[in-house]
Amino acid sequence: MKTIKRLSRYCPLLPFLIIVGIYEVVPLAFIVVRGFYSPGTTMLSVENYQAVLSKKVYLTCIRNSMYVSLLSAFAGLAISFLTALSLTKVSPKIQSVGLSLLNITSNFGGVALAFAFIIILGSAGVLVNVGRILNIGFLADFDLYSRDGLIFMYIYFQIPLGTLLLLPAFEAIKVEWKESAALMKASSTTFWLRVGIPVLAPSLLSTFSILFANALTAFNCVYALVSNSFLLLPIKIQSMFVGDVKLQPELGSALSTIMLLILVAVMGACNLVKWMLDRRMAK
Amino acid sequence: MKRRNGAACAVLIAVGLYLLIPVLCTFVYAFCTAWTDLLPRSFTLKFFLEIFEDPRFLPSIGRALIISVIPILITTCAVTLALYVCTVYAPKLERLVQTLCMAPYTIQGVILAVAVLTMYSAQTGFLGNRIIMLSGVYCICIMPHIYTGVRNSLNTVNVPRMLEAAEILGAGKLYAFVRTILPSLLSGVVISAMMSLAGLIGDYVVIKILAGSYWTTAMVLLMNSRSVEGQLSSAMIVVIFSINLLISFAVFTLRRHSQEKRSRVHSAK
Repeated sequence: MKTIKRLSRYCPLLPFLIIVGIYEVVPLAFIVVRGFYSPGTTMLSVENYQAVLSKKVYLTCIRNSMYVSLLSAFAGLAISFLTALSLTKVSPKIQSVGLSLLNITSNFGGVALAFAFIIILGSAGVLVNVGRILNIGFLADFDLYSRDGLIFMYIYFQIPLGTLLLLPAFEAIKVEWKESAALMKASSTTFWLRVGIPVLAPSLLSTFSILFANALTAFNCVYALVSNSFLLLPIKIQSMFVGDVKLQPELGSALSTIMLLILVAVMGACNLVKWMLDRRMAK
Repeated sequence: MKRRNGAACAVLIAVGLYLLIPVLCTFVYAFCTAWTDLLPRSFTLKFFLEIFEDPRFLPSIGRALIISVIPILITTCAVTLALYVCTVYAPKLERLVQTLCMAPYTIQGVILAVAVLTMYSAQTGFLGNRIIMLSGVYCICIMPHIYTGVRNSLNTVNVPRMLEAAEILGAGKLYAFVRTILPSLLSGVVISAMMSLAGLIGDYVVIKILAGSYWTTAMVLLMNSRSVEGQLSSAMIVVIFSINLLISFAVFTLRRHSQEKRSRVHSAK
């Protein structure tokens, strides 16, 4: 009786566990296991992983995704850092306007963002036409449908997310530290390199890992822009489960697991560096 | 000081232009007949009239709202009840609940959608229904936002003390939670729910993989309109983005209202 009463206290947890179990835990476990099935059978084998790690098309997908995600995450983090730093130096009114702009543009993503970039920087885009008329080389020759064009678009949705994540961290930088550094004749650059960035390092690392995950899993804007013509992991994975060509769910599962491992590896590396920095600061 | 503020303003202007130009050009393009020179040739509302006369457009927005609201309600109830158990009876379970709620930050989108598709598409019953699969995946996708909102709201309320006080007055724990704690959580939960709504309205990948042509939302219609005139797509983006702006404005107003209410309560004490 007592046991039943004790167990009944946990009944409100059931809806949460059912939803998470059915739609998160079980499907993810299944997709990891399915990667070890031979195509069209339930016999265990590593041939899917051998194919993913040896065939040029899949290696190109992984390489392109890593390159675009890492570069856009680094660039996004640098620009977000400068934007957040600038927001702390301006008046509360300008700060409020800046934050409103960031909140508004953080909702402008996905398919709408891709269409917007096609309108301004596509082959017959508004800014490309302006570049041709005014003879501005880099605008007239801009190729949105290349890897660099994709990175330029990725940075757009990284900036609001990165800035909004970093802004609260700047409260840890005390004015007294800057004053002490100025008294010791340290320049602003020296202060940020020797004091500011090391203090903010844990926040910078967390933000970087979120930006990287955001870029690696981005699908909507990429698909709307380049469809299946550019080899990226999310695009390739979805084409193996849905589409007109031959479906390869076992190979797709192996590719999904590789993508998950990349995410876990990068986030794990960021957490490890964070832990080492925390230990050093504690000493 | 003036030089530093000058540099800060220059950075903010450059970033502001980079963020605003795509939005503004899309808005202006939706009202142009053509824009091949430095400035648009002439303006028209015909593309907006065309999309509102299209019998598919308004139902697609309705479908986007329906498929977004139902998962939000389900997830809010499930996460709130889970956090009730963790706060009142089992604080050690909080870590597990947090991990399960925050994990979708990394696995959302393609991986989650293909995992659910590959697991349940062959089933003939309830779990194999495309709309049920779509709702389930959306529940998981918004869990990080809903969890953060509920958790932050719970942190502002001294739950054990309030429940103790209610129990002294003869109320049961669940009754006390529903009648005293839940009303305090409401504004935080509504803010997270609205942020999730804006995110779900803009989703395409999960619908494409799971529902395809079964449930044509505004984003699916927008994607299918790629091959027609750019101004038509821009007009659709303007309408959809305006809905998102309205939601953001409602969130901002609610947040300011709850902050003002809190500061009035503190100053009254």
